[in-house]
Order: sequence, then C-alpha cells, then structure tokens
Amino acid sequence: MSDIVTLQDVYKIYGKVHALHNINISIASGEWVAVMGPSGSGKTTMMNIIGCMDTPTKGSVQVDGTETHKLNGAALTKLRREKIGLVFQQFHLVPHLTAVENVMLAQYYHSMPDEKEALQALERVGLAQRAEHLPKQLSGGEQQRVCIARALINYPSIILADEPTGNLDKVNERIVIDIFNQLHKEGHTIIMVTHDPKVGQLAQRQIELDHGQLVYSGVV
Amino acid sequence: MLKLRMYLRLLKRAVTKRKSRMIISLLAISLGAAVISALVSVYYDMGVKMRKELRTYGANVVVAPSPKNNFISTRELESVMDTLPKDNLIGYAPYIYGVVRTGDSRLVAAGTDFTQVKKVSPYWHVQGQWPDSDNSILVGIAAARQLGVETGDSIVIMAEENKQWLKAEVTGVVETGGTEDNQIIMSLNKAQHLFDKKGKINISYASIIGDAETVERWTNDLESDLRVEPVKKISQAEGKILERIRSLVYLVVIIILGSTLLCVTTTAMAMIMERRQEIALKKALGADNKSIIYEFLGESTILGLLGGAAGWAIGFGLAQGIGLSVFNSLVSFRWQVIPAVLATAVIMSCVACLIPINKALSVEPAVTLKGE
Ligand SMILES: Nc1ncnc2c1ncn2[C@@H]1O[C@H](COP(=O)(O)OP(=O)(O)OP(=O)(O)O)[C@@H](O)[C@H]1O
Ligand SMILES: [Mg+2]
Repeated sequence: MSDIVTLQDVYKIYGKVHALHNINISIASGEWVAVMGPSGSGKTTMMNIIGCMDTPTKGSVQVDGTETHKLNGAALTKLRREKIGLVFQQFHLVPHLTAVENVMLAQYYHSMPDEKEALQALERVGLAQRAEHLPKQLSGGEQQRVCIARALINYPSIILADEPTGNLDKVNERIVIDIFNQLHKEGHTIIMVTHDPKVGQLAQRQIELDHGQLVYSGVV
Repeated sequence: MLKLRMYLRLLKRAVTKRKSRMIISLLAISLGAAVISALVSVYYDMGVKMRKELRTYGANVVVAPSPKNNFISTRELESVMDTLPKDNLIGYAPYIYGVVRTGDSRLVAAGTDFTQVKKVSPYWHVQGQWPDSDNSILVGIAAARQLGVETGDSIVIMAEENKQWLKAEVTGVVETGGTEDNQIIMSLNKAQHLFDKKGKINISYASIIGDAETVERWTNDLESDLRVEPVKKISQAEGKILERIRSLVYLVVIIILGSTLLCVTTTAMAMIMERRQEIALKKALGADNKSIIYEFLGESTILGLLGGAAGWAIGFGLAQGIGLSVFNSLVSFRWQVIPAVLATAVIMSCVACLIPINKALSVEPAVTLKGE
C-alpha cells in the first residue's frame, strides 16, 4: 500500500521547547492511526504539520505526494483545502451559519457549494433533521457530527481529528466513533488524536509521543 | 453562479444573524451619513437662500441720474428695471427729496413707494402704521422728537422752494438707523406733487439677488444713460460671508468623515477580534486571503448601503429643520444627494475596514484554533 503521509527527521522548535524532536513516520493510504501521549507531548503540533496548517522547523513532510515543508502560506492553504478534512476538539462551527451552511462553507472555499450534497452529508451523520439549526441550537455531539460532515464533504485524502471526542459524553462519543469506524471501512485515511485507550484500540495502529519524540508505534 | 449565491447567503447571515453586533457600526455610519446628507442638502440651497436672506439688509444697487441730469424720469427707471431678470429683482425703491418747513423747523422730506421700500429695506422699523393713502406720512424718529409729534398727529408741511403746502396725518414713526430717521417720508405721488416734480425722482435703490460678479455684469450690460452701480461693499461682503460658510461646511464634513471613520474602524477592529475564531476556522477550511477580504468588504458594503440610506433619510429631515429654523423655508429634495451619500457611506465603511481586514489576514489558524 502506498504511503499518503511521510514525516522524515521532523523537528518543530519553539525557542527552547522541542515540540517535535526527530519524528519519522509513514502512514499508508486507508490506514486509521491513533496518536496518543501526554499533554504537551506534541500531538497537536504534529497534526498541524500533517494538516498543512504549519511547517516544521527542520525535516521533510510529504502529504499525498506533495513536499509541504517547502510551500508558502498560500500554497499550504490550497493543499489543505484540497487534501485535508479537519475535525477539532472544540467543534469550531461558524456561529451565525446553520448546520447545512457550515458544511456548504467548506464546499464554497473548495469549489462549488451544493446544498443537496451537503444535506446528504448531514444525513450520513444522522442530522438530516437539524440542517437548518444554528450551532447554538445543537448539542455538543450534534455539533461534532456537523464538523465531521463538513470534513468529509470535499472527499479529502486524509481526515485529521484532534481529540474529536474530548468534549463529548459517552453516548455521543459512541456515535462519533461509529462514524469514524464507518469512514475507515469505506477506505478513508484517518489520523486521530485521543487520550482514551479504548478509542485508540479501535484504530489499526497506535503511535505515542512523549516530549516531542515518537516513543511507540504499532498495534497494541 | 452558485458561488455568488453562497457568497450573498454568507453576507446575509453575517448581517442578519449578528444584528446586535452590527448595530453600533450601523449607527455610526448612519449618523455620519445623516450629518453629511443634511449639510449637502442645505449646502446646495444655501447660496440662493443666503443671498435672499442677505438682501433683507438693504439695497445693493444704486440707480442715479446720468451725469448731465439731476433727475430720473420714473418711466425711464421702470424700463431699465424691466430688463433685469424678474426672479432676481426683489424690488427698487424710487426717492425724491426736497426741503420742507413745518412749524419752525426745516427738514428734508422724501417721497417713495412704500410697497417697494418694504421689499428693498425690510429692516425699516415702523411704530404705528405704514401709510396707506397719499394723505398719511411717516416721520423719522429723530425728526419726530425734534418736531414733537407722534402717531396720530396731523402736521402741515410747506415746500421751501415753491411754498406749496399740504396737511397730512402721521401714521407711524420710522427708525432705520440711517438718514431717514431725520426725514419726513410720504408717498412718491404726493412728494412729486408737493415739489412740482411730476414723474421725476432723484435716485433709486434696488435689491437684486446674485453674487457680486453677476450683479455687476447685469448692471454693466444695461443700455441706459442712467448710472446703475452695484454697491461694491455690500456685494463683496455677501460674497465673503458665503465663502466663509462654505469653508465651514467643508470643514465640518471633513471632521464628520474623520470621526465616523475612526468610530467605524474601532468597532470593526473589535468585531475582528471577536471573530478571530471564525476567521481562523475559515482559513483552516481553506479560505484564501481573497475570500476573507471579499467577505468583509461585502459586509462593509451592506453596512454602508444600509447606514447610508438611513443616514440620507435622517439627514433630509435634519436639513428641513435647519432650513426652517435658519432660512424659514424648506430645503428642496435633490435626488443627486442620495447616490452621493450612499457612495460616501460605502466608501467610508470599506475604508474603515481596511486595517481590521489586514489584521484578520494575519490570523494564524493553527494558533487561534488551539486557544480557548
Ligand atoms: N505556538 C507555540 N509557541 C510556543 N510553544 C508552543 C506553541 N505551540 C505549542 N507549543 C509547545 O509545544 C509543546 C507541544 O504542544 P502541543 O499543543 O502539540 O501538545 P499536545 O500534545 O497537543 O497537548 P494536549 O494534549 O494538551 O493538546 C508544548 O510544550 C507547547 O507548550
Ligand atoms: Mg493538543
């Protein structure tokens, strides 16, 4: 299977802090990887670099065939738009747009908004009835499902989720994890940060960071 | 096409779902636009209204006999005045003078056309009544004191030259602050009769609306032996007053523009800070700088249009208030003011957004989305 993400000798250094220290990993297309490790170990930093939101201080990064460490801001934005689907811990929806409009927003920046398709995406995450609701009218779990629908809408090569269940209760966690399970079965590449070992075990592979270094990679 | 529709939908949501946030900016723009709209509306009418107003301070053109003559014939005067633009000629008051005696006193009597005097010199202050017949007269306030007469008295007046006399009733005492205060003033007809100067006058004062150059051009163009001359001091003073008010209006408009700009910039700045998360999210979703700029400029344009429209309406009302209280008349509706005010408001609103937008572009999604 071909690698969709490759990090080689990647460092991210803030002053004295080595947020990432000599990271080397490859992630295959269609793989579901759980990123684990204590707080401050560099998980989000790594996700940002893979997700084209940031560049490494040193080292090389390949995302779906593109060397991203050489790109400028505009080119990174373009790549992110085309290849990456993002899901955040704090949901991050535009507060004055309805659920379906939040999904359409991703289409709008990507190419063409298509309300029908956006509604179908919401239906996939079980929110067809909530399409016209504003984020504040939705529960946390529902908001996160809107985010997932939005992350999927442009058929990204990689879905990045930074603690997607971190702010959810057990029931909603279950629903969201089931969706990811489904996406994995359909062949999506998923990289997910999680603190929960049980969630981590659902992935094909766990990697663990500590003080910016990769300390474990493999199936538990 | 679909993209444009989504763009408009985004703008609509940003404006309608964030009403309370928009209101301050909207208020600032409306107020600025209102003052500007009022000033511009008044400004257009001001020249005309001010000139009319200034004409109440007396004549600005003197008509004197040709150098060879001592008198002007009333017919000659009329024919000359008829050639002036009717709408601009407020009036012209003819005068004939003669020395008269009454009792032991010797003083000047003038004959004039009272209806014209009222137009040319509205500042004449009459205690009592204006004469309404050839047998009633006005007495200047100083003359009245000298003669010891008051309203209601009858006096006998004798022309010194030809010894003709008449008896007339004093219907009012006039105060002008000028030479009239020392005179007896009667109807033109009566005076011409008294002095044996039928159809003749000594001088006429006219009041003509127009700036100094225009009035001068008109009087120069008159084909007549009469000496028709603008009172330079008056027309120039009028010009200066208008000039000063004009520059005052410019100054006020600039100050209003500046303070509105400042106010809208500050609120826009606060708005951007508040929407950092949203901007960061949009960038994370792949929005490029162009999209972000378009969205904020779009919102600013809508704000400008709404604020400009409201401002124009308020300003038009305000202009009527100013017109009524200052010039005693309404300010006319001019459609040109609408696009001018709208354009100003939109430009103001967009310019005020430039610095905030620049700030928005510097938002780092990775940093901003992490915080909270
Ligand atoms: N912009 C930044 N400037 C300076 N230091 C930073 C910055 N971003 C991250 N760091 C530091 O880098 C280290 C790794 O941070 P990171 O956010 O990747 O941790 P994390 O593993 O995601 O932690 P958590 O589980 O709490 O989310 C931390 O020590 C953090 O303080
Ligand atoms: Mg993190």
